[in-house]
Amino acid sequence: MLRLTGSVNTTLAHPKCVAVDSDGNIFAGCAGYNGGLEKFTHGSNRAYESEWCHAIGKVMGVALTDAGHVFCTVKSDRHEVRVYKKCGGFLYSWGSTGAAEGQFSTPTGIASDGKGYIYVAEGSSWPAVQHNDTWVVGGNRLQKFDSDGFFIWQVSGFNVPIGVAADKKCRVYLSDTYNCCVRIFNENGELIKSFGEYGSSPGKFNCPQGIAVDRRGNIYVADVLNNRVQKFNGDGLLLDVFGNEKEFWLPCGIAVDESNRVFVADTMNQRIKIYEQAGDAAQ
Amino acid sequence: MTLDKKIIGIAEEMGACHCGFADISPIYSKWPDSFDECSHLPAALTTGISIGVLEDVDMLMNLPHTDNDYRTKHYAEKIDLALKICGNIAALVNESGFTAHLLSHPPIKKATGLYKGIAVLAGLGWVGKNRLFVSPANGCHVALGAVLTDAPLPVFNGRQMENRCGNCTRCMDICPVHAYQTEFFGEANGLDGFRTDLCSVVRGVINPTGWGVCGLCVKACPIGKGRGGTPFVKQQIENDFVSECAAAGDFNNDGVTDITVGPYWYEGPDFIVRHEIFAAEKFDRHTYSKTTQPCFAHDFNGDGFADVFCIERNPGPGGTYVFQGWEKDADGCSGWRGVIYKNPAQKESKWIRHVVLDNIANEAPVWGDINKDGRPELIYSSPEHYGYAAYDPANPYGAWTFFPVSENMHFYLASGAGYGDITGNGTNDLIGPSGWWENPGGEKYPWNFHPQKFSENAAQMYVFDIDGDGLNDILTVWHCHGYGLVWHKQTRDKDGKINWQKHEIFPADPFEKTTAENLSSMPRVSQLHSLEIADINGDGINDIIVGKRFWAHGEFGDPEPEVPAEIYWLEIIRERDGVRFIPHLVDGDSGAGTQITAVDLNNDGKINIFTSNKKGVFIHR
Repeated sequence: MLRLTGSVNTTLAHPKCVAVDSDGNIFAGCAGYNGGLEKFTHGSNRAYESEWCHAIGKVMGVALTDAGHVFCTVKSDRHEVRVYKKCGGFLYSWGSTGAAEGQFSTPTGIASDGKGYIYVAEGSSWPAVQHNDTWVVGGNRLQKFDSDGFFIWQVSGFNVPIGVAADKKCRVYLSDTYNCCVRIFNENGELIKSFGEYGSSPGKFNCPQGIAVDRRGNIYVADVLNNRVQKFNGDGLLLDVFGNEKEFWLPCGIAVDESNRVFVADTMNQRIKIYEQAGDAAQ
Repeated sequence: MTLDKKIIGIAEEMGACHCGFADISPIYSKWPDSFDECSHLPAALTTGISIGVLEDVDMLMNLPHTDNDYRTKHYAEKIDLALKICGNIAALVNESGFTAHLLSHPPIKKATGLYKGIAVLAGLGWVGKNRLFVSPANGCHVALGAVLTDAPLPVFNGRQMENRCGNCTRCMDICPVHAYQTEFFGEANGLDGFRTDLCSVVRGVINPTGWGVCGLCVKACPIGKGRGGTPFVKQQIENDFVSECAAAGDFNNDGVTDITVGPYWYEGPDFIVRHEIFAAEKFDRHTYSKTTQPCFAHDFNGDGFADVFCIERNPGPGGTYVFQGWEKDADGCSGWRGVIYKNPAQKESKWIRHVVLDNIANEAPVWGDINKDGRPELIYSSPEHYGYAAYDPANPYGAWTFFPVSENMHFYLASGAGYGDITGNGTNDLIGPSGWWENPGGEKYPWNFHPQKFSENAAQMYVFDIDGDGLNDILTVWHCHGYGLVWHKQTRDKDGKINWQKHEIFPADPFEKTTAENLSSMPRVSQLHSLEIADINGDGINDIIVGKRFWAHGEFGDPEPEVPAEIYWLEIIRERDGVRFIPHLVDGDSGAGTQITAVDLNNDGKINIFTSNKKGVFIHR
């Protein structure tokens, strides 16, 4: 069972993605018309306060690496991955608009695994994305990179995949949004498991987007149009469902910290809601 | 019956949620190619009839993504209904000797904008940033149909409804494929800045046949959120202007709540059988009624039959109730009189009129047990003092005693009154637009005054804990003949001194004064002359009911007399770090008078809303 313990209003118009580090700092991205990336940290009274907020375009996904860097997928003049220090300083970026390996057309979710590899999902852009007077066809795929942006592999054949997560064992979890399912891959990009289907009953999805995995391998999915979050074990067995229309309004993003606290980007309500799991603290 | 009434009758009977008439000449001139479809018609059809059918939001949002046929399962069903209604209307128009052309579905190129354009020109809503037609009542959940005709219909000639999207970009921000490239405050006919090709990706994914929507931009719209149309059903029980007040009580002692508007009472729970309390008149909308101010129901003599307390004024020259200023009338009364109509208790006698108060000199007096003696008092201002009047239970129909809470203010004229425990000491304090009076306890008068501008011109004012912090706050309209709904948060400094923070709920500036910075996504409604609180959604927290006093000062007296007379309830949602208000339209064509009564009229556990004004008498169930 999850218990609401906090709520953080964002400067960002509508936060769609969220990540949290081991110090409890929150990083939220907005993919909306007035997008951006924002960091929240604990203030003197333990309440979260905005530390910095960068207007860097549509931030589709955000991930943290063990090296202490903030990776985000950005759609602005170009479609790319940008890397920041946690203090907000820009480090470097990689990627460009296109359909080739290592390029992006509408990058969405991003995740980092236990070895520092980066996974980037791409939403559909069919028929094409215009870039420098050329039309680029691509999307609907998942790509793996090293932290410097060198392409490793890709898997395609999805319907607007939006959320991606990875665990310490380098398994990759993808929310295949318009197929209403979750897909799990091994570190070589081979499909291990797939579960979920369209619906509103527990265990089913309606436009799943954000996805996160905790240190015990449980999977959390932001089930957007059902206004809820669902928790599964690593085999896809439903463990918990929480939230409703009163609690969330189209929650798009989700993250879990090392204490198994769950951070939900309650997108249309412009806030991050924080939950603790009863009985999990000692495990 | 006139043709327009017949058309509206067909629309309502067949289940339309709106029907309006528009002069569509602007569309001809701006987008002539929209009318390719009509090029074969013999004459320019310059009148558009807009029909809307409410979509079932739950169904719309829960369509299967993999094998659905959105068109046939739901959307087409609603479109077909709109087309059927339009077909019947077109047939009626033809039978009446005029030309009628039914716009087709699926629409010709740009005709989607044509449907929206006609609805906008008919004053029924606006086109939102999601490029969908948005009605204040039903959000973007309306399937549109339209008929073009040359019939002489009463087209909407008021100002088109302003775009209420304000600075909200939820629909654009939620789109997974970023179909919204730019903001949109453009013309109804356009899809400027919207990438239909990207949106069609989603459609294609959901349904390979090419139809289907993910619905995120619809569900992200706060207008109509969570309901897909108003859940209230309107019952109009008078079509004439008889009063602007509304109260509830048991007038026939049968245990069922009845209602009164002053001259009449209506038997609950159906409110069809009407009884006269005093000689009823049908007033001209350009003037006022005999009972322009609130009325109240109370069983003064304890016989089980509620009496009616009215605030009346003598008619002016010619017997009309035009505003006469505040000079004393022939009977020496400055302002209104407080009058009890004693219930005959089903005997053959009439309701006996007892004048119990003179010189009621402020608008929107309120009714409540301010001194906690178990009996209601009237809280109002005399020409000199603000205070309250109480009756003697041994002689309730005799003259009441006035208790002057304020100093002599030498004709304190204001609109608005209220009471409640501001200090938290268990006694009721008094509030007015310009401040509050602290109850010292006992029989000491006057009370200590704390100046604070709560309102420029108030209606009913309420004291209750809005944000759940344990301190009572104040709710009031900002200007009952202008705009604005505000609440004042009570705070205490370290010494316990009470301070106030003003927060706007509905914008207080008129539309003309808005800038890019102060655009609000909340409704901007003028003439909010009546305010009520009640727990509409059953969450244990009082919600807000507020309505436009239709033609408060007649046809030209106040801002926007011609725009729809709306009544809203606002859901109060307390959150960890504050409170927010979600507006829900109760009805878009009734409004309120000077009083809203919100009680459970039929014992079903749900609050009903009851109003009376220059459009008639309404119950929203």
